Amino acid sequence: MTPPADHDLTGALWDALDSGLVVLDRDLHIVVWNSWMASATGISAGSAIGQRLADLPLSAGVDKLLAAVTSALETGASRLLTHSLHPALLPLKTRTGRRLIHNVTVRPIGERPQRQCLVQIVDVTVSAEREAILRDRQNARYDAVVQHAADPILTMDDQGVIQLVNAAATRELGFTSAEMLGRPLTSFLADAEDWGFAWDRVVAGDEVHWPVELAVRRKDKTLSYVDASASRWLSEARVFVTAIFNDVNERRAAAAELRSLNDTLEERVKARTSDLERAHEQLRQSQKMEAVGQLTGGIAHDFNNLLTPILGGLDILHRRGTADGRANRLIDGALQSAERAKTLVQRLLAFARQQPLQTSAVDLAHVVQAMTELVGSTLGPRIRLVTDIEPDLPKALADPNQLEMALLNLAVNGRDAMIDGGTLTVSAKAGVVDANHKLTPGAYVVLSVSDTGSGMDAETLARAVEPFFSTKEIGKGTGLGLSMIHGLAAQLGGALELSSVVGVGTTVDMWLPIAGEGAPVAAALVEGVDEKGAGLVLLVDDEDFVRASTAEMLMDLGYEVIEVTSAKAAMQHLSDPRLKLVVTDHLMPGMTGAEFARAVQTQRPKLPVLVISGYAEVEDLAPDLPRLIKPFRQSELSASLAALR
Amino acid sequence: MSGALGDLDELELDALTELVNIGVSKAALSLREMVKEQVILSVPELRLLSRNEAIGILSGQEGGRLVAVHQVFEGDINGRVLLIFPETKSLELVRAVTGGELPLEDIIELEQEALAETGNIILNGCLATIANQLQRTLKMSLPEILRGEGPEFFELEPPPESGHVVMFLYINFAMQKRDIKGYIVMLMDLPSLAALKGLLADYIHRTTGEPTLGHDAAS
Repeated sequence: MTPPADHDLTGALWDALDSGLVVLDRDLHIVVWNSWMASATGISAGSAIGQRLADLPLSAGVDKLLAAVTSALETGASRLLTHSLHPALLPLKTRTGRRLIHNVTVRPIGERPQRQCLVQIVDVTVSAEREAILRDRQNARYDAVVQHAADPILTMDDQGVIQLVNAAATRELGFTSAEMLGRPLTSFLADAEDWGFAWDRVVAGDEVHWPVELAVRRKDKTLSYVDASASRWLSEARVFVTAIFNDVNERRAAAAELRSLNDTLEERVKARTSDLERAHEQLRQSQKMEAVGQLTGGIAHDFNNLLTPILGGLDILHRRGTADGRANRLIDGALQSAERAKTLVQRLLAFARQQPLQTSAVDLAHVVQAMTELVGSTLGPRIRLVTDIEPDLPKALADPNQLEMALLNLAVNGRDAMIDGGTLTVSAKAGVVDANHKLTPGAYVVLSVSDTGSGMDAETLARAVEPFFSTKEIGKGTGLGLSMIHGLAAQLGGALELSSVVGVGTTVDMWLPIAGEGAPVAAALVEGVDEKGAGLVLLVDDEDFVRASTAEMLMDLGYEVIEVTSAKAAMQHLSDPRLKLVVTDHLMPGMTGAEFARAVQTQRPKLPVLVISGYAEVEDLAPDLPRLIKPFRQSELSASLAALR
Repeated sequence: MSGALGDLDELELDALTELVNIGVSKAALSLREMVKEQVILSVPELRLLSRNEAIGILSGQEGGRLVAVHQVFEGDINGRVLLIFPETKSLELVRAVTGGELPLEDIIELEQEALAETGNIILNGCLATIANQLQRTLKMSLPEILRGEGPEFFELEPPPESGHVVMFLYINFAMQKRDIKGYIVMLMDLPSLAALKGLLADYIHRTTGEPTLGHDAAS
């Protein structure tokens, strides 16, 4: 540089300075350009001095500098230009050739009106780089922790204005960071009250019980529930609050479900309790039926034994006709009563599921068809009979006679329910029982009888199958109809189901098991034959009266009779070659009639055996044995014996 | 010269307010060049107060932490000038002058220098314009950033003399859709105030042609 000669020291000082020094005159010509400037710009003092600053090969930023210089010369205002707001104001290089970061001050020199302006350039490269390195390190840590955090992290200034959001926040809420920065956090909250309370405390540095649950509105207007926690931090005495949102949407959903479960708990308990009560009631009802059944069965059996000699004796007297007219009328009356008693006992046994059944594979279509005329006449002209039989129904395993009786009984019940006329529908269809049923799962056939009558209320319906429970006037029904059908269905391995709506009608469904391959086909009934017998009959019965009555009938039929009181005693007579027949009671102390019959079949295979029984066991134990059901009349005994031959 | 506080008459106060507004308008132009955006600066009110009154206003109206850009001026009148605004607004101001695109950490980083430069533009623009109009020279120090509650701004070294008066100016910044309110505070001793009064009288005389008492500026 070339300072004026009288300023040797001043010039030397300028060149010794470790900062840039430029003096410009009013026309912006360079007056001073020190060594530091020459080094930083690569423009020597000799090239610079006397030139206008604007003419030097510097960057566009020099315009800003010139504006400041002009202002200084015109108004006397000094000016600071920092690298923060004016990066690369001048294209300066350090001694190693790197970018030189600098701040610039512009001052007018001397008293106004100032003719010269001083431009000072200060090297802040070291401090700026130090800050940049520190910041980068901080950012690297910050990025690692915050940007990759799974939870949304937001930083607010002390006014609650969002200053920073991480990637998870933009992802979860659907806003870009630009859409969130500068806006108050509360503008994203559905309800800012809880947050506001916590916010005031956290900004004040007070303790806050985190987390606070917040509903944050996403860009798509849906709500995201989060547990927010936040902490205050200071940067150069400025307060910031960083909040972390923990997604609780799943937990909330689970809690809501739990709440709803709790809310409906009482209802569910009530329903369950009522289910239980219903089940208990059904159990009680079925236990009651069972008990009544056993009691009924026991009584009926004893009655059968009592009735057998009564009926047998009266029958013989009646047939012999030896009495006078008055005695004959009395005998007839007694015989009729005995017959009615026999029917009653059979019904009781049916209900008790102890009636002897002759089960076979039954074609329901055939049974219904055969019954149509009889049922129709029973119903009378005001009731229409409709039959609806599913084609190709499998055969049911049932006792055809009992089934006919049941059908007739149900028809009569239906008629009695339709005082003003109506329609009785008899239908048969296939049915399947699944696991949740009192019946064994499997295929069934369902015989249904529906009426369009008065129906039953729930209480009546519940008791309908109880024996002797009747809604009919006294004398109009026995109260045993449904009971015995119920017993019949149960004994066959099926079930009876009743459904009824008051004023609409009643439907009775008889579920019957399907007949297997080997089930016997119903045999034609043997007509009662009244022919004379002959030969020796071995009669076994432990009941004296019954045995005597039976023996009397046999002798009346022309047989000779050997009477014994037990199977054991009878065994001794088996070797008698004169024996033509064996007639034995079933239920006896020691060996039963069925067991004895087996023994006879073993010892003398050609000797016919007739088992007399009032119970169902014989069928259960030995369905192939010929049987006669107690009580019986002489004609029935005769027919059974005839069938043996 | 007069020793009484608030001794500028109404005309002088109006003249000073006008000068200050010319100054900040120039500062606004400088800022506009810098941020390439419309910047509006205005000083709606100017009051002459005691130190305690000024402290009362700052603590009463803001009540929180404040940030100030401080410069010393020397010449025919001597004293300090501070541009003060709530600390919470300083980041907004920096966002405004830097264009609002920078991330928070960068703004925090830039805040000190950006504030210093911005404050310097406003204060220098203001004072230099006044000095120029009054045809006097003022030498301004480099800006310094202060933070505090307010009272400490009035107790800077060297300790103030009891007679110091405070010229209290309200200033509104409007830029980048932001509206930031702050204050310009000038602390002067009584001789400086007297000098200012004389300079203002001369200025009024020059601009209106009205005769005034021939005040001579103290030097």
